[in-house]
Order: sequence, then C-alpha cells, then structure tokens
Amino acid sequence: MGGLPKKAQQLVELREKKSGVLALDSGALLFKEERIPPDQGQRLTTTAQGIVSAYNKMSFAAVGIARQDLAAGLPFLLALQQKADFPWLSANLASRTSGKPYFKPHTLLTMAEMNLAVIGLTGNQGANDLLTEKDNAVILSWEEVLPKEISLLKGRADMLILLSSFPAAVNKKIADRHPEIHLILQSGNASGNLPPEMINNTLITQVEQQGKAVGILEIHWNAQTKKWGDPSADNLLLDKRNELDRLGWQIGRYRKNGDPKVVFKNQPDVLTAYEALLTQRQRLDQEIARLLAEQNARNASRAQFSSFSYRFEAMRKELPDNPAVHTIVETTTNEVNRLGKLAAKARAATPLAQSQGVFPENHVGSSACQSCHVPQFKKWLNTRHASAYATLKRKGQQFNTKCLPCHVTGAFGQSEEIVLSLAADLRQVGCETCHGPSKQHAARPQSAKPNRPTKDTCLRCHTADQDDNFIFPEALARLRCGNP
Amino acid sequence: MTKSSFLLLVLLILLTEAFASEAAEKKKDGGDPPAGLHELTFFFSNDVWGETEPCG
Repeated sequence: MGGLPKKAQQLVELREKKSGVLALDSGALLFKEERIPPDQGQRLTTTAQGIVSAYNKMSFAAVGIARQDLAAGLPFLLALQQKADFPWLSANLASRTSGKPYFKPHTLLTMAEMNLAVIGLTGNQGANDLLTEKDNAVILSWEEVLPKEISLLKGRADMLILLSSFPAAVNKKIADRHPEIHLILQSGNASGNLPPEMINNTLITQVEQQGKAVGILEIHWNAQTKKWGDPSADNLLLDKRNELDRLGWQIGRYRKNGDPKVVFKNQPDVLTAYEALLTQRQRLDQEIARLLAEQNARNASRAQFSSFSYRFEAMRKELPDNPAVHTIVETTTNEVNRLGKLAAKARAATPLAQSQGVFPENHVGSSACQSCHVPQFKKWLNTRHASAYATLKRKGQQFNTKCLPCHVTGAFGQSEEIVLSLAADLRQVGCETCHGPSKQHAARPQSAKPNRPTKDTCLRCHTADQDDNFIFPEALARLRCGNP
Repeated sequence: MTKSSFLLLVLLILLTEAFASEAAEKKKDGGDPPAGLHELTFFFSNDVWGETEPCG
C-alpha cells in the first residue's frame, strides 16, 4: 500500500531540514497493470486522479510515464496531464505519423544553483496492442530518441537525469553508452529497494514497488568535473547502516509487548530467532565503527569528485500523515466507496446478487464450520478476523473493492461483481480464509481435509506496510484452532 | 540617536540573528558541502501502482 500521506509528510520534513530537495517519480504511478478490468475502470481512474492531486500538493518536479500509466488509454493520460502541476515526461511516446512526442520529452530545472535536465523514457517491452489504432501512437526505441535529446541538452545542464521504465538491463546499457547521464531513476518490477549502482559515470537506483518505500539520495555535485567519485567504500558503510536500521526495526517488533524473554518464554523458536538478531546487531555495530574510522581517513581529497549517500524509507504505519494529502486521499477513497456502493445497488437486481449473496466456488461460509467445530468457532468469534468487515464498515469503506479482499472471505482473484455480492456469511475473515474453500470438507468431513494455514496465507494481507507487527509463529500460536 | 531609533536598531539586530540561526539550523542536518560542490537531495519513487493508503 502506498501511504501517500506518510510519503508527503516525509517530504515536508525533508524540505524543512534541507534546501534543494527535488521530488521525482519514474513512472507506473497510476495503475498496476497495463490493462484495467472493465468493471474497475471508474474506481481506478478516480484513484489516479486523487494521486495526481496528492502529487500536486507534494510539488513533484516531474513524473515519468511507464506503460501502466497508459492503462486507461492515452486520451485519459493526456487529459489528466492538464490537471497536473508537474510535467509528465516521455521522449519516446510519439505520434505514429509525425514522430512528435505526445508529452514533454524533458524538463529543465534550476536548483541548488545548478541547471538540471530531466528526460523521460517509456519502456517499450510488452504487448504490442497497448496503444490502439485510434491513438496513432508508438513507443519508439531509446536508441532512436535518446542521443538526440542528450545532444539537445548539451551545455544547458550541470546534471542530466533520466526517468526510465525500461528494464534494468536496458538501463545499464544506456548508462554504458551514455556517460553524459548522471542519474537514472528507474521503474519496473523490483521486489525490493535497489541501492544506487554505478555504471560508468551513471548511478542507477529504484525503490520497491507498490509505494512501499521512498528513496532519498543526497548528493554533493561538482558541476565542473561532473564525475562521481568511487562510492564503493562509502556505500558499504551505508549498506551496513541500512541493515542496522532494518535489524532495529525487527528487534522492535519482538519487544512491542514487553521483554521478549518473558513474553516468548514458552516459545523457544521465537526466542532463538530474537537472540540471533541481537548477536547480528552487535556484529554490525562493530563493523560500522571500523568502516566509519576508514571513511574519516579518506575524507581529505574529495572536492573534485561528486559524492552521494542514500537511504530508503519504508512507509511504516507509525510514520505521521500529512494532513493536506490525508484529506485528498480520504476524499478519493470515499468517492471510490461511493462508486462501489452504486455498483452494488445496480447489481442488487441481477440474479447474481440474490438475497443470500454469493458463495464463490467451493466456499461454504463459517456458519457451516460452526456445526461441528463449536469451540474453534467460539474462539474465532473473539478475534479481530471475525470483525474485519465491521472495521471496514465503520470506516465507511465497505464498498471499496480495493480494501474488501482482506476484510472478507473468498474474494481474492474474484471479479468486482462477486466481491460486492458476497454472502453475509463470508463478510468477515472467516475459517476458509486460513483453511481454504471447504465445501468438499463440509460434505465429506473424513475424506476431504481442509488446508493448514501457512505463512504465505497470512502474508496476502499481513504485509509489512499493512501490519508491521506481524510475526507468523506468534500469530499462529495466538489464533491456532487446536484439535478439531 | 533617539531612544526609538536605538530600540529599532536593537530589534533589527535581534531579527537578523534569529534568521541567521534559523538558516544555520536548516544547514545543520547535512552540514556545509565541500567547497565547489552543490548540495542537492532527490526524493524519489516509482511503481506506486495507484496505491494511496492502507484500508483498515
């Protein structure tokens, strides 16, 4: 989950501390997929508009266009561009007939008494039919457009930045061929944050997907030499510091309910894992002290080269929200919920939404489990799983199909139509969420056994950004049904 | 110098110092960059995928 209000607050706080802060996004801002399911168009485009308002509020300097940003169609993005205070950049999304780009190919900015040029490139990998005949558009290769852009900007910028949604391997090739580009911020499928990597004289970096983190890259730039110094030694220190931060966060999770030695005294596995983290932290502390001493010794002759430091900030739950962006997000989610409510109403008359609602394939509902598993059912009634839908309802988001799958049973992978029409008996995180569809088990209890929940079952919803206190063995011990 | 112009002068000095320490405070976090170097911070993101905030 994105946590835009948290991201905005991080940016505000950074700007309070530092002058010369530039906010950039390299693309895939609006949509996850290259195609929008027809029944989710309104919800997703409403959210996209909300995101643009939030980015306006955050004063983003430029945003790159990735293929996913075209999911609602080129006309939608062209219209949305009119509502953005920042330029959408793509040098290679061009008219099929004239070859002219549909969006600004680059933008020039002045910051920290420097002229900066930012170029946008849209990745052209993937299906050919993303753009329709009617769009009269084509995504050109980077080889066709980039040399021209670079030569156009020659002598006009102290630093050249590329926002690229080409795959990492292509960006490395670009860096290799064009050392005039000093920084590539890329978008694409990264399962984690990618620390800056130096190729030739170009830094390439990226944050993990789904808005889970932001990257902060602080540089000291020599506009005369325009050369990066050797970052490997300093980077090692930063990597170790980032590792230490992560460890501190993990250790904090074990300590949230008091001294782990007391809390987990009956769970030796959990305690062993906790103690291993403590040992690891001690080792890291020593290593960081050594690297720091080495760094101090190196600091004498660095003015002729440029240097950088970086960090990635995870959008953790406890980070503060920015009130203005929070309001934008709240307005957007309320609108999304209103649209869902209208859709649910419209469907009420269809055969799918009968009075008892829909049971997706092989689902039977928690009430069926109750008849044989009385103590287990009673225990479940006292968990937050049993009131997950009520929580959503209390927030007025019970028609928000983005939120619903984690607050009901059997909604993953289902169409919006089914998600909005689920039977009342599935409108909670019920037995089948953990144990899988159990219609067969209800019919033949002895021969068809339900699943045992695995960590992956829980991680569909208890992701780090949704629930950064989630520890699987601890959750399992707390929620375990016991012998059926 | 009249009493009021003296007070005005004192006020101006105090205000100048207040602004100077505010600017110093702003610099404190990153420290001064080495001579000839420009200090710049990139705040960057990608692949937000239309996500806004957690649900509940």
